[in-house]
Amino acid sequence: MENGGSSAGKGRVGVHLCTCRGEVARHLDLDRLAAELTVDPAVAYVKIDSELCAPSGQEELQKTHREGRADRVLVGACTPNIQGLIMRSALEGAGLNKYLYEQVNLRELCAWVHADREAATDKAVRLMRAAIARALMLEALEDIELKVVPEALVIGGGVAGMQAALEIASRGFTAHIAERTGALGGRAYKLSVTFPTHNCGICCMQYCRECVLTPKVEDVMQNPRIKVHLNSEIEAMEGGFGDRRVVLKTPSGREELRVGTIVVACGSDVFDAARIQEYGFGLHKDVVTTMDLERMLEQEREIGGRFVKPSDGKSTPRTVNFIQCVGSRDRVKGNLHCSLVCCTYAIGQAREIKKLSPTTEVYVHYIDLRGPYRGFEEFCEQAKSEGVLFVRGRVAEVREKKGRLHILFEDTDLGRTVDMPTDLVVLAVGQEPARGSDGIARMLHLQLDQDRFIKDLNPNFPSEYRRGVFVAGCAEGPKGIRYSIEDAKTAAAAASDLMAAGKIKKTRAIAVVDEARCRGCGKCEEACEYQAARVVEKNGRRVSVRDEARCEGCGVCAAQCCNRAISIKHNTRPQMEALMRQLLGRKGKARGEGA
Amino acid sequence: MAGNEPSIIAFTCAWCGYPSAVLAGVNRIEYPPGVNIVRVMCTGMIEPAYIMRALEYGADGVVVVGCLMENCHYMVGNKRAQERAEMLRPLLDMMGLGAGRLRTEWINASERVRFAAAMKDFSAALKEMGPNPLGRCDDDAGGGEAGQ
Repeated sequence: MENGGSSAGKGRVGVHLCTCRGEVARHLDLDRLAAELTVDPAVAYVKIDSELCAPSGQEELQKTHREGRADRVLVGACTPNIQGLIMRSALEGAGLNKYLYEQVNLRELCAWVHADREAATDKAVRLMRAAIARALMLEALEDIELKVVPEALVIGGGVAGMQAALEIASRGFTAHIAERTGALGGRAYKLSVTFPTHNCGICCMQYCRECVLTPKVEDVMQNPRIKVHLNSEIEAMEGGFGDRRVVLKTPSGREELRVGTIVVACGSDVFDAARIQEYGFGLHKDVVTTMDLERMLEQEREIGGRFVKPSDGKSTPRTVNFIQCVGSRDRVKGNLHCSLVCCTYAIGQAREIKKLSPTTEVYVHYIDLRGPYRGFEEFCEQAKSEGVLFVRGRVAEVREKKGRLHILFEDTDLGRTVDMPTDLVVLAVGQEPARGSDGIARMLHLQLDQDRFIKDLNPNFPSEYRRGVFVAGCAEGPKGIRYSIEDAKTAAAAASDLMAAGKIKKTRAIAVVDEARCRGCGKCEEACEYQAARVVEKNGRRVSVRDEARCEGCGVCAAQCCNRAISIKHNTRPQMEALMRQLLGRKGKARGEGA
Repeated sequence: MAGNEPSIIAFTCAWCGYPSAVLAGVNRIEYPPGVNIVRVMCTGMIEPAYIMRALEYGADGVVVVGCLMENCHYMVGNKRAQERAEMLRPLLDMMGLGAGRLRTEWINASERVRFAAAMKDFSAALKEMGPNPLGRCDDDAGGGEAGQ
């Protein structure tokens, strides 16, 4: 039974081969393949088509299936992940249960990688026979339907988080913002000038304290559908797709939320400049970061008289040196990635200094200037015309000599090393993943990318749905304000769509437990990363149960079970064994002949 | 092909292993036709029994291809697979099959060249080792029905 040798009576497989407009046919002898498959008693028919994924091919699939000669379909064509989905849904339209569809990737896994036509055709026969064996063991299943709770959690109350919450609320759903600090607005709120308007980050008017009550923050605070939880951190998360219980640690104790979707907008942190000792941050008072300078500029504008050397608190700096890429593009002491926004904001600050004190000499030390934004070139040109000096080359060291700060740098354009006295050194610190964002990623089972930022499912398509969790803003990587807002809108739209639908379908290909075999040892509970396996007391014995909403169907638990009590639907042990048996069968022997 | 071409079962995960194989195809990077790709959701679902079954059915070698360590789509499935492979290898030696018949490859979805190279390398190594002493499953004297 389990070897797939005698199940021919159970089902009839309809086989379609696709020449892929001659692409597969050029490398494989499809006629021989068809002839070898037709002799199998379990095969209802073998058809060769030239373009199964095209409308004509889809029609052909449907027409053939409606004839009712087969109860399951095997397609030998290309990759099941792309065109396969088209063909499967066409067949679903003709009444085929989608779990009774099987596909062999003859093109990528066979035709395109083997030059020897004979050997490739032999392999194709093997692959197809194995797939027939598996197809015969497939079970008709129904998707799991999960309800989506119409409330959203937005992690982080920066510009991205606020925007996401506003969008979600505008579509009629409740949004909870969990913000770790005591104020909304995030880092953008601390900026005195931003690109391209050259004004503050939020209201785009002149920067002023009134900004605290700017439209955006005010909108969020006053929106009845937005609940803001300040000074709150996420303590625990439970549940799965569509329905999660979130425990927030708030100043007034624990609070429990039930949400259907989550937007992760936890932002990024700035690089700690003290990690690069040679720049002397923390050692010399006149070495500051760009964030410190933002505060100075903001106070200068508000109170006046604050653009001074921090060491004496009164003299205006005569020479200012900006050091770019502090902690960015630096594999050894910092992060390898480019932080994208530093060139832009440092130049903005340099221009601001020129405005405040035209006689101050401002140098920007850069490796190369990167501003992937339209308008950046003009911005740069303007800075140059205003007298900001650009020096290409790495800065070696900032040190104190006879009570004066000196900067030692290389000017690669002039090909020489310069030791120059300076009054103020500004470190353009890059961004890195926010503290705790890896913990959030772990809780939500999101992957991190090579720079430890949270990874979107598909880098080209932001906010593709993944269990109702979306990522927006700098949590996904360094970003300008505009791009964070875009992200937030996309994420909010996707989240709202899910909540508006109220339910989602999920594949049934998940773990099931044979309770008679289960001894309740709990190994699966330990192995499951999604907390989908739990051992409970049932009819006087301990057995493991699965949470359908949480199970991802990875099968780690099944492989861990010594009693073989767990199997993965649509990926069962007998299916796998039948498949392998045929793959390894001797050449020229058809399925069923040997057993 | 069945002659002296080693037959290999390549368990590939749906997120990195399989896509890298597909990309090798798209880029027409050749590897030996004895490689039979079996797609699984995660390498973590490959039970030691699957590997043993493949060898029992006559595979000359089994290779498990999954996501890079620290980057498993299902968090730690590949770690589990690695642990299991490490446990199995000495066992294969003990059984006289040879630990070299089981390999693991952790590669990114985009690393098509690496995928093809790994398959070529494994196939060559298996050729050196000679065929699986258990024979093919439908050989008269072969295993197949044994087990369970």
